[in-house]
Amino acid sequence: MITSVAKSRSIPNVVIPGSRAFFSTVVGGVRSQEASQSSTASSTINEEGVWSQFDKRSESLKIKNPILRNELLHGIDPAKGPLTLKKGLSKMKYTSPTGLDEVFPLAYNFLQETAKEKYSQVTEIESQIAAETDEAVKTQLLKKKNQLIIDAEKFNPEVAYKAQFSNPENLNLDELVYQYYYKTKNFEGFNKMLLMQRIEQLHVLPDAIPTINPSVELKVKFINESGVNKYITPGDILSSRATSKPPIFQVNYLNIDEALKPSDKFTLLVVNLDHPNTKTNSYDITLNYGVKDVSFQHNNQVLSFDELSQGEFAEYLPPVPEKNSPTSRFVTLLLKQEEGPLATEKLNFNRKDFALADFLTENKLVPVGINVWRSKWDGNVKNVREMYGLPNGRVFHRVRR
Amino acid sequence: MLTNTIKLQSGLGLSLSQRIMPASASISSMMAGTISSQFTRGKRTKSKSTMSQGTQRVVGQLSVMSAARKQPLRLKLTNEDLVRHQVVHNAWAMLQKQKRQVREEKLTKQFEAMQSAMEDLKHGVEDGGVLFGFGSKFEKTKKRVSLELRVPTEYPPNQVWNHKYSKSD
Repeated sequence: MITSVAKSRSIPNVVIPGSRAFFSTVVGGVRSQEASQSSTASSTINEEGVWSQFDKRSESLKIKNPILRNELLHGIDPAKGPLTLKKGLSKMKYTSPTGLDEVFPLAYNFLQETAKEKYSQVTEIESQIAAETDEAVKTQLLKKKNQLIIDAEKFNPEVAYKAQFSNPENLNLDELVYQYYYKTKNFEGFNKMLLMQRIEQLHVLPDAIPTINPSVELKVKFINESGVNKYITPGDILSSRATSKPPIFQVNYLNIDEALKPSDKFTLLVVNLDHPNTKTNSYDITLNYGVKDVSFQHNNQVLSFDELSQGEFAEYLPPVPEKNSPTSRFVTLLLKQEEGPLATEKLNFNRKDFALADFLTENKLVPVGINVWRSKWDGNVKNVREMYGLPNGRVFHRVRR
Repeated sequence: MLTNTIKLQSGLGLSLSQRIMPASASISSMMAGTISSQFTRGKRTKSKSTMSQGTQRVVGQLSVMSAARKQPLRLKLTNEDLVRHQVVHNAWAMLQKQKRQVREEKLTKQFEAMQSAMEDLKHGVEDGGVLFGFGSKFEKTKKRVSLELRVPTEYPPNQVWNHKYSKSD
């Protein structure tokens, strides 16, 4: 009986604003010239919809270049050619796919209407949140609201263009939709996989911490007069000259469900997992850098020297690996302080033999971000030792002397 | 004889396969212990493939074609047009999704209504389950077209009348 109902096609058309024109254009196939002319005349994008209103929405959701924006919304002018192609010949040769310009406005208006519905749901949820007193229900509603905001914007062509083709470092990651794109495409799609592969292969897990599922992207960069100023790839072997001055960090907080709070405090640690200890015939963990009570106001934030020096409880000691000792792993950890700010006098640690696990449990620190680089002895280590007033290094031999 | 043949071939500037094939053939025959007295250049001494001739021809043609030409043509779009294409694609997918939801909702409602109607027949009507049995009767036979029916044809059938016909068939 059910199948017979399905076959009889008695279901009324779905009432979706703007959908009929879209449907008939796409399904109707070849139309008469008059009809197609009338459709092209009527099908223009609605520039007074939610995606064109910037009084409540952020300006970062808009493409700034007016020519590019015009091309994206109204199609490429065949006389001028696409802006993104550079060569004149390529510009001349290029033609847009047949029918795209006709069907785009219908699709755009249709998606914009659904976005409008999503935004009206958002305002509804906002009023619910304001009236709600139960915290658990509130967080549930907040999650739903965040998802709705992402759904309302993710099909917006301007947003999709910026998320896919602009420099990810320039994306405004405080906008949920950009955070969503960055998280799925850049972080979970590549950077996180690479990071996890490196920290597992180098046995940072479980040598430093038992395990981690990073919800925060922690990027490390060494700024030098002569070096290449780029964020390191996890596991890179860096020269002692490059690491002679403290690094700067960039943090991308990518937990969409739980918003970043400026009141949250974090601790940054740089530890060396491979400091040789001849007495125990093993390796010690040493603390090379420790900063506490770091807070983030917004995403994509770069922690500069000034901000770091305020909460510094262990000054930066550059990597100075011993000659002939194995390559050392330097792990950077971003830890969330569960119990607010840390008191400096209560911090109990030994830099030369750093009990990392105990330090984390004592101070209730939860690892949220991680990165790793490697260092080994090179000719410049001696200079770095002199720079920081460190004693002469040891030299290891095949047979211990 | 053998050395002569090889010299002759290498001096003629033949194609690679022609140059190698007879030589390898003669070497293999030498290895087997028989040296053929009559040697014909370019003649296959052993059929290598079990493929049909047609297939072999296609394989041969494909092997000389560059890899790039074997791939289907890629639709080259600029970034702007790619995003515009994505918009159309997403709109179409969303429209289909909305339609599917409406349809599924309707079918669920119909199914539930049918189920409640059958429940009513089972328990609400006190007729000893006659109506329910009638409504939920399950046909045993799968033959839905009766034997008496026949597709109209221009000529009479070979067997004009089935004398042994019985209704139970």
